[in-house]
Amino acid sequence: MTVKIVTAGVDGVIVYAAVDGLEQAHQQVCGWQHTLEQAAPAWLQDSVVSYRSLYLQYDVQRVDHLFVRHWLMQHCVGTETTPAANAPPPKVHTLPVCYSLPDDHDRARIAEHHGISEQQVIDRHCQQEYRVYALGFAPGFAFLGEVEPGLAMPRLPTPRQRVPAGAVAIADRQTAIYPTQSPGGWNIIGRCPVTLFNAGRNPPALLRVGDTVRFKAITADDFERLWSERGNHD
Amino acid sequence: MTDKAVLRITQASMQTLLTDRGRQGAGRQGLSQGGAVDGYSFDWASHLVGQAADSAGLEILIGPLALDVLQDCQVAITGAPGDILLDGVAQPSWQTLSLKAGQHLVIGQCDAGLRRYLAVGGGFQGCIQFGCVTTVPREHLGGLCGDGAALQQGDVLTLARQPTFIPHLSVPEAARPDFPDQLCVQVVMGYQYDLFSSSAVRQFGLSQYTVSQRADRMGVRLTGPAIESPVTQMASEGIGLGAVQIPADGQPIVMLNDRQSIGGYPKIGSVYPRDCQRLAQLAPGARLRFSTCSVFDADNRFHLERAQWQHWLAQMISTAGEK
Repeated sequence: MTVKIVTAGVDGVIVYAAVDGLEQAHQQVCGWQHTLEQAAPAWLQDSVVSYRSLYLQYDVQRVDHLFVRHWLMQHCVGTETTPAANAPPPKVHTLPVCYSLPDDHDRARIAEHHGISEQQVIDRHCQQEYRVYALGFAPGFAFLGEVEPGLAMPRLPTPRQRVPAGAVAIADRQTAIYPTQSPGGWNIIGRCPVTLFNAGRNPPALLRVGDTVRFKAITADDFERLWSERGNHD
Repeated sequence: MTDKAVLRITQASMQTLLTDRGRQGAGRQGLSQGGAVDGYSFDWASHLVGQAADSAGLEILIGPLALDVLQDCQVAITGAPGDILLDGVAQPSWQTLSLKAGQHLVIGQCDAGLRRYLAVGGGFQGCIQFGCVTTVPREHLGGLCGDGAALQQGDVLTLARQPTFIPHLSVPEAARPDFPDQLCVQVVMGYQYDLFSSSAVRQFGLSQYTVSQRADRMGVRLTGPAIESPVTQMASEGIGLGAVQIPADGQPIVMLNDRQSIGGYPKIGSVYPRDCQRLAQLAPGARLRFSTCSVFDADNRFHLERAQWQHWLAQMISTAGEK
């Protein structure tokens, strides 16, 4: 596979990874973003890593499409030896999740779907390390992957009007935590009491693209205690 | 009430937002860009009151918006056309207006277009988050209190800085945009353009689309001849301003300032930034056509428009004080 640099408007390009596997592809685009941010050229306005791609926005008063394309080939996408070569070391988070609250609507459905027990759903969700593949949807919302196939679950046919803040959920082979109460169509399996987004904090989002996340089961009592300590939740 | 209090809202429009040029580098953090959707009109309003374009003003959806003037100040109203009444006396848009404490300002409903802009000398104070005060209702961030709320009746607006009173300014006639209900916008081919079939690309270029009711600061959904979508599933990726998404139903969605930072629908290209501002002024029912261009055509247009804009700005400043 070769690196693909594609036009994304008068002031943007999107670069696609040159490797097949999702994790490797993501490591590669994270590496490119890291290189770009280390160099911090004055024309760089924004960069977004998501799964297999890196979108970047440049200042069209300073440079143009050809300049940016050439710069990327010279400094970034043409130079590394392995996909992970330039990636920064990932930060590892262990997040507490309570899997025993009454409003976790979909745990039993997932268990039934795969012919396993609810405890096995919890075990499978906890036993794996997940990678933050992208941020989006809502402030602090991180797309984590990949959930093992024996836990994957399609989105709900009709999204719920209200998913509570902290809901831990699965959609296909992705898992995530809803940072605030919002509508949502993912399958809810638990609640996480940790504040994922705080506009006053720098950076505001706890989870960053490329980070690693592990879930640890906690009791309902622990959840209540941590939830009350969390403050400003809605 | 502080000595910086300048305007009090006595009647709120459908949606009035404290806004500015939006956030820099927001996509990196998974946040929306935000900012005035018709940045062209917004920038002129800022210049008319001697403000740097990064200061905060109001984006008024449709109107009317009524305000009590709490201290002498200079304001300017640009964007969509409509009445402006100061103690019942009609005032011009696209010019500096001097207001006195105790007066009552009514910014009427738009006659065409959707959004009117108000800037004040000194700029408005807001809750600074991510380097600006832009209100993003969808994210519950920004604005007066940092919770994404629109302005309400009774809200008091205060000045961010001590204002400097400037000679009267008026935007040159040629620089004032029209607000038509039909528009042809330029689309820079890109993203998944190569995956669309040649008949889908032709359909896109030749068809007329209508702005639907589902149009807001996040994006404008269009209705019209369906464009065949080339892929059913793709990994979500970063999306820039003006990206034209083609979901499975083939009805295009043009993404605007409050779009999410990533999306998983195939995109045929990007509406040119100035055309996004014009598109954001189209009311539901307005007609739209697309004309594709290369990134080089778009880059050329950008520099020509910028040179033209600088000329207009110089012209405005050289006639300062003339009425």
